[in-house]
Amino acid sequence: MADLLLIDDQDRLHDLLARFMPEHRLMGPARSWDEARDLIEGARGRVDLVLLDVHFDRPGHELLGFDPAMSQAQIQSLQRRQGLLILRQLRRRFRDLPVILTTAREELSPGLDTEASQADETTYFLDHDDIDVRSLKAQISRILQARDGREIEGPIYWGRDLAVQRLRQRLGVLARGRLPIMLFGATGTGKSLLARHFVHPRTGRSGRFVSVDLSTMPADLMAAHLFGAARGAYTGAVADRVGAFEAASGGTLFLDEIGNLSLDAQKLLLTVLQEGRVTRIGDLKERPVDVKLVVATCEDLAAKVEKGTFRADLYMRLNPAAAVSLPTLAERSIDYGSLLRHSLEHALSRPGLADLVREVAEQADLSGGQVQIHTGGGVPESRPETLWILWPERSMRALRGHSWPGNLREFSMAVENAALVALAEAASAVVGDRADVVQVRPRILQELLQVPRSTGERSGRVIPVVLQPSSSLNKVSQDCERQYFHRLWVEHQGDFSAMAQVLLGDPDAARKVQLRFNQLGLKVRDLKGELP
Amino acid sequence: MATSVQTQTAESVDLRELADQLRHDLARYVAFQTRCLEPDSPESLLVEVLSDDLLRTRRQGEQVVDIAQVWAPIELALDRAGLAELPWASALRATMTEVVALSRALRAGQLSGQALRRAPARVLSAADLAREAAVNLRDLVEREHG
Repeated sequence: MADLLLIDDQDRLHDLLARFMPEHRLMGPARSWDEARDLIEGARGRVDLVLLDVHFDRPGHELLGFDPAMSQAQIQSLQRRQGLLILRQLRRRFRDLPVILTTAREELSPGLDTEASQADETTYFLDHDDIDVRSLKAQISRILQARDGREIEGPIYWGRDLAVQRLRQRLGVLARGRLPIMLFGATGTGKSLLARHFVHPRTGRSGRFVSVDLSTMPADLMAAHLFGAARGAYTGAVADRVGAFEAASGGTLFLDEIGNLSLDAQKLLLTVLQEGRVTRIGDLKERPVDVKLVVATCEDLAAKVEKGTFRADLYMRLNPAAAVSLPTLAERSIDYGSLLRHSLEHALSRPGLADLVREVAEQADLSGGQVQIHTGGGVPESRPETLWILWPERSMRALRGHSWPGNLREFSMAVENAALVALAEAASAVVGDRADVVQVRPRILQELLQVPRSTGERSGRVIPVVLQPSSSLNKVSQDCERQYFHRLWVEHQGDFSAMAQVLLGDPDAARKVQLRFNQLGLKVRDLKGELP
Repeated sequence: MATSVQTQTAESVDLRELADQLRHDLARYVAFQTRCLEPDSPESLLVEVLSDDLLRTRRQGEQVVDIAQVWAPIELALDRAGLAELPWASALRATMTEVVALSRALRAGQLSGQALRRAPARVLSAADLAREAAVNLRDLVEREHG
């Protein structure tokens, strides 16, 4: 239970919370800054969180910032941003008090958005302008946990990268709501993984998780697959068929590559979302369905709407204002260590690799023991009954130096392949001087990560540079080189070995790269401030 | 068509204000509690929630404004602005006519059974259409003022 203070010109939010969130104590609603301040001070530290409206339909003289000389239009403008003026006062007087502005950031007009964007880390927005009580409950709970230092770590979408932390926080809130969740992300960024392992467990629903990949499904089968079909509805429909919506009722339905949905199926999907009922193809009976819908795409759906290949009304129903974008792997280099460990643990538990591990362990007289992973510098000390999988620092650099166009999927496959090669080599002969250590050498990674070049087409990293005219071609060329050295240095957090891997395919050529870096007039001490 | 609409509206109605009314007064509050209902909510809860949304759409203490009172000035403004015949405005008007009728039946204690069960979908649809109308109006304003 928490003490929530409402600052709102209306009673509707108070009524809603009283009905749907009786577990919290409500204070207010305060109609103005003065009332709010008095309530907070009177409560002597008992207010846990403030819910603050933005638009206040109150007489001018009750508004912060009011001047008797104001015109009617100026007063209306003041009413529209009154909440933000109150927020400013709250921040001055009660700096650490969490505040939820009861609107979505996207709904603020541009000027107000700028003002609100200066709000600090204890100010939150709703994910959607329409209040969904389950989302709000989850948001309140998360804010209070964060305030108490009990931030929850997601078991699957690991990592310390700020973008991923925000992603987890946002999805945790959206999962509890009734509105659909739209995930945007390049191929391999983990959309399906997130939906299954992160969103579904947080929906609070006891039903199944059902996943449908629309990229691999023929257009004429989509409707029957999603909505079901009655016997005889089409050639080959010899029995009634339950669709994905019915199968997922009470649970979560994940539609991957929603942009591939046929126009016919789009129309049916819209009807299901509007009515909460599904009618099997060729049937007349409506069946109620209650699913948490998660859709994913790597396409620009808004552009498809413009082109007329995706229905605008369906797009709006999919809750685009709260769409979540997944970062690429290259944007999460800070997390490579934990991602490697997770991928490796997962790979070593798979039947093929697990058999190889047993074989290598038997050869080293460690059968029946355990497998431990060591990443980074040094070699672990021997332990009884322990087989070590060692991923040395230079192999870590090889991972960091790769651009990972296939993102997490490519990463986990590369890790699994590298472990497979290292174990296979160890099974055929002892490599190195310790039988209890299987080392994933950088050579293995370098071979695995070499991108085959197609004839006539250049592959490799794309690094934008700004061309500046100069007095000689040499100066222009040097300026371009300086720019991409600079970018690479920041991107790889000052790791010259990783830069050498990118530029020369050899992490041992770090010294050569550093020399060139210096020749270009770049200085580490000047650039340190740019590192995250 | 679009050009003549812009000219008429610029003279008579503040479209930005109208868009705010559609979004803030109508889209948000017509389904404020209805959107929190579970699919199989009991009828008694449906009646309570719909009563809050349709009969007490805006409430400041004892001052209560129902959905008909929220919709009337918006409908009038859409007419005055020459926008009422546009497809999105017509769709909104048709749905709001139904919703206002629902509110009257509710007030008279005559909303029950299947009509009551179907009411939340109509109210949610009204909210969606009002939000869409607000977006269309904002687009008009942006086109008009660059």
